Amino acid sequence: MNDESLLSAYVDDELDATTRAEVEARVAESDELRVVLDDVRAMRSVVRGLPDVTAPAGFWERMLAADADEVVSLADERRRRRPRTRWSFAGAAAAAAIIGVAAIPQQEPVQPRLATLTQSHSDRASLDNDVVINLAGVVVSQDLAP
Amino acid sequence: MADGIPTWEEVARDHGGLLYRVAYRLAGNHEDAQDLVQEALLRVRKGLERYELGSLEGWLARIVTNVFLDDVRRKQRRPTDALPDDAERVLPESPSAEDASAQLADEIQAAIAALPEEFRVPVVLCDVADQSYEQIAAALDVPLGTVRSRIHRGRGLLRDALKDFEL
Repeated sequence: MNDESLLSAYVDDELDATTRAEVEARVAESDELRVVLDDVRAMRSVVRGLPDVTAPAGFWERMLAADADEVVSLADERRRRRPRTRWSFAGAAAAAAIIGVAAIPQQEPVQPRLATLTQSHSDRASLDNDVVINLAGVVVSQDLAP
Repeated sequence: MADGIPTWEEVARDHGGLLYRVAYRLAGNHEDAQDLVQEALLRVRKGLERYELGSLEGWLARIVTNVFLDDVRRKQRRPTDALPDDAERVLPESPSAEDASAQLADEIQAAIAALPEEFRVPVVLCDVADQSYEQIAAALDVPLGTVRSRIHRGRGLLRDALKDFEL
């Protein structure tokens, strides 16, 4: 067989019937190809058999809470300034204060008290001295203003 | 959901698990996976109006893959910002962890994360996102034969990396 990659395609059921039969015939004739085929099957099973991985607690609350144009804009700004940073809890809390509370599948709904959120945000913004987070506070204040 | 097009919240709720799985297997750690998913969801939110009915999971896998590749390119331009790919491996939670299967899973994940991106992406799209070769070719804008050879080469590199383990 000139192209060993056909073995991966064979295992993934990505070959037409003719090519599939051809691969099977070649493998039947070659111990070396059988070893490669076994390896391909093993690696495919290894990756597919990895345990499921889920996001850390609170991640989806933050993502859904952040579904507000104001926060998306803030996130864009933060990413522009600090490409590797993520939305902080304070930023997400501010977002939750803006749009209310989102129910997340498989996790308890979060209904933080506004006063707690505001205080938490304020504390974090001060500690971080983060201009953008501080801006998030401005958004909250403006949105909540009568 | 209107006209079969899901809302942003429905995408996050119903398909967030897939997005996170793909992101984690590509990135190799939770920190970067969260960054990837966050950015992917922003792109989903902005692009939902342009979504054409079809394989939603394929579309999402393509988005998170593009986010990952953009991130790789950005890190290549700014190498001092990059964290080690195997940060979690360097600092294991516990050197005396009893759970052998969990340790093996970590080793496998580390081997995936160590694959060059050109092999890692198609392997993850195939074996984690369960995408067909045709879908992967479309996502990466490469010929079908290239997908096939990269998946095969990626699996070969994984085999080499894991040769000391009983699999």
